[in-house]
Amino acid sequence: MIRRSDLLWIASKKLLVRKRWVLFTVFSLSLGLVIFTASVGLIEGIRAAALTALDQASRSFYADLTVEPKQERPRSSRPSGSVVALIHNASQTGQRLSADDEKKLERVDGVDAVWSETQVEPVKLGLPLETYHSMDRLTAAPESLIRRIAAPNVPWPARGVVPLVMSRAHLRSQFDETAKRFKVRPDFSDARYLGRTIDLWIGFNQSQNRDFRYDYSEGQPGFRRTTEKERDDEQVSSYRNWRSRFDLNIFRRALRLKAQIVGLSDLKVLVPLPFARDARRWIALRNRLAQKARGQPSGGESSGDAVSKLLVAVREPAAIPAVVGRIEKLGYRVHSRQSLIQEEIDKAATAFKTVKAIFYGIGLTIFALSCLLVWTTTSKVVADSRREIGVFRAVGATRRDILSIFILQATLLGTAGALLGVLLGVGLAAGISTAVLRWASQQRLDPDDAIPATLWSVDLTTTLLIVAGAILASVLAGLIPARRAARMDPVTALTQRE
Amino acid sequence: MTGDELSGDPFIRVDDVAMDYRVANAPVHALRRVAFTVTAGELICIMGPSGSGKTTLIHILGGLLTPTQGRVVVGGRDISHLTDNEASAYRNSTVGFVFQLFQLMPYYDAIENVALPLIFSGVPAPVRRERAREALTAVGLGHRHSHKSGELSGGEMQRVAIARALVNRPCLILADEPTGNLDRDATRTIMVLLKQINTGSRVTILVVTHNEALSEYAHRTIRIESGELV
Ligand SMILES: Nc1ncnc2c1ncn2[C@@H]1O[C@H](COP(=O)(O)OP(=O)(O)OP(=O)(O)O)[C@@H](O)[C@H]1O
Ligand SMILES: [Mg+2]
Repeated sequence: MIRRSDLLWIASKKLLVRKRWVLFTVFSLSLGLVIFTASVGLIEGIRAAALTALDQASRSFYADLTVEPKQERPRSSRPSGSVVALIHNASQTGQRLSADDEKKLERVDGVDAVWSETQVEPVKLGLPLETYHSMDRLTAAPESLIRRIAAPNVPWPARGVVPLVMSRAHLRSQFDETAKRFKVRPDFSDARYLGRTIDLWIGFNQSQNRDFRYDYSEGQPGFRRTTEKERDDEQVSSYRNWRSRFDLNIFRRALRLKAQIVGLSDLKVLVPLPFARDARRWIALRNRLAQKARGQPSGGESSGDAVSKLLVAVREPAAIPAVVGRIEKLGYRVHSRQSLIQEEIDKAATAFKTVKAIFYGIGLTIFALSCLLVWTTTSKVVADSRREIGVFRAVGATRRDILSIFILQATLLGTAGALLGVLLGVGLAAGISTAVLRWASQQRLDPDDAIPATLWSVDLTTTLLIVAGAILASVLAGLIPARRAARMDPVTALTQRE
Repeated sequence: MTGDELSGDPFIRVDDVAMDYRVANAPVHALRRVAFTVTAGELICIMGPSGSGKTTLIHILGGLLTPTQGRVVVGGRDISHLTDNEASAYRNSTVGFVFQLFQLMPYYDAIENVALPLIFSGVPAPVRRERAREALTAVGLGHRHSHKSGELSGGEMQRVAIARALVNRPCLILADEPTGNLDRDATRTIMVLLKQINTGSRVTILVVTHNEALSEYAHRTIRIESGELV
């Protein structure tokens, strides 16, 4: 009976003689596994990163509930199935909510406030100069909600001062002169900004931030601080245009108010709803004036107050599920923070499942081809080794010995291919992830934009299963030619002339 | 089992052996009713024209072919009805083959070639190397143990093949035209070597040859024509 170590020696020696064939087979075999491992690793990693991002994004969901009309099944007025029909139907079914709905919701037990999302723009926040302040939009929320978000130790501002919830993201970034990038302030703390009084310009229409320029001309594009001269030039040019373009000057006149930071939140800057309505009205009035000065007909007021969704604040956060039930009973669709995230997660999960299935399909196809390759390689080796088989048999090898030698060869090929494939695949996934993340961190302007640590992950069980599967498949692929070798008649094999 | 224990009785007894090959349903009678005996320790030449059945006979004696008819007893054991595994074990332990075309593995070096039969009897590697080296020394090639067959002359290759046939200490060496591809000097070296092995360790040797001159090395010559002894 042949020893196991000798079996390995004979099998690997035969493979080493056919280096090119072996390398080709192992490499082709690994290729499928590379695609498979890398894509599955990246998909898993991106999924995890996406879930984290979703979770983070949910913090910008500042109302307790969002209420939407109950979606009816689209009545198709055109032949269904075409893209045009789908778009058409979607625009037709967009049911809207009116002031009546708002009143109805206000009467629901446990509801604190109902409002539709109102935004005020353009605005300018006069933050301390060392921070980046291109914030040009305020979002309105009921005063009760702002009071809930406000820090407890900050006194509510006096009349005439706007209470404001500032977004952390805009306070945390600082321009780094050497790196020419915005970075997180090392000394950032909530306490530094809470209670601070700042200037708030309503209707400040400056799309470009005058303090910073994005410079493409230098070798490394990026932000830089504008020079004194550049700022002067801008002043001069607007002064020069003053007489000829009177309308613009009106348009440039902003309302300067005092605001006090009463709280910090993520992403959105919140002001009380009544103030936001007044501010909007003021901006609209000023715009009408500007248009009149230009001699343009003033556009009609925006039609109707109907909206696609209403926001709801609930008095007691613990009562949210009960309130959701009550509103649903009235015939609306309700999203809570949790249900919204869950919905997004479900959507993402389905998408990822599909993508994963596609890659599994590709992987399995390549895998099947690889098995074919192992089969042909082993067949070729068997065909090339007839005389060798004859000699082995003549000096006493049994059929089992021959079978073992060739199966072991296929196994070696499969194992080498699988290991190489998994290693390269993991390496590729890690490489792509690192490259993408490096690129992303260079591109982001707001350092508070969360960038995940990695975009790839390896599931050990899956990896082991893949390797085991590859080895098993190559054993099976090698079985048929190995049996042919074992059954070869020794005399015929010996008298074979090449 | 060695030839010594059985001296007295014939070591090989071939009884009424016939071998038919079936080609396109028409039988080819390679051997017809062949019968002879060989005493242990004999060196015998087998001669005959091409196609007369010499190789067939050697293969039957070596357990590579099962005769269509008749009985072959080697060392007191009937080898004409062995299973495949038994035949493998018989070839491994009792027989050493020497072929006209040497049949060495080109990518094994000399010592690995010689040690090959020991692999299939499960001898551990260090013992294997030791015995292969001894066998190589016995054929006068102890210093060439790490040469590949491409680096050896025809005569040297055949000596390596003889070492391989010797390494398992068989009682029977079957050589099918071992000098068929060699010149006169190499032929003499091989025949002297076989004779030396035959006398030295009393191994029974059967040598198939076309060369009449080689019969001088043999104790006797068996002639075969159209599958029959003459
Ligand atoms: N595998 C086979 N199938 C069919 N016929 C065969 C086979 N092997 C040998 N024969 C035939 O059997 C006969 C004897 O062949 P064998 O090889 O034993 O002759 P030989 O004496 O060794 O000849 P040579 O001196 O040419 O080697 C020949 O007629 C040959 O054609
Ligand atoms: Mg012959």
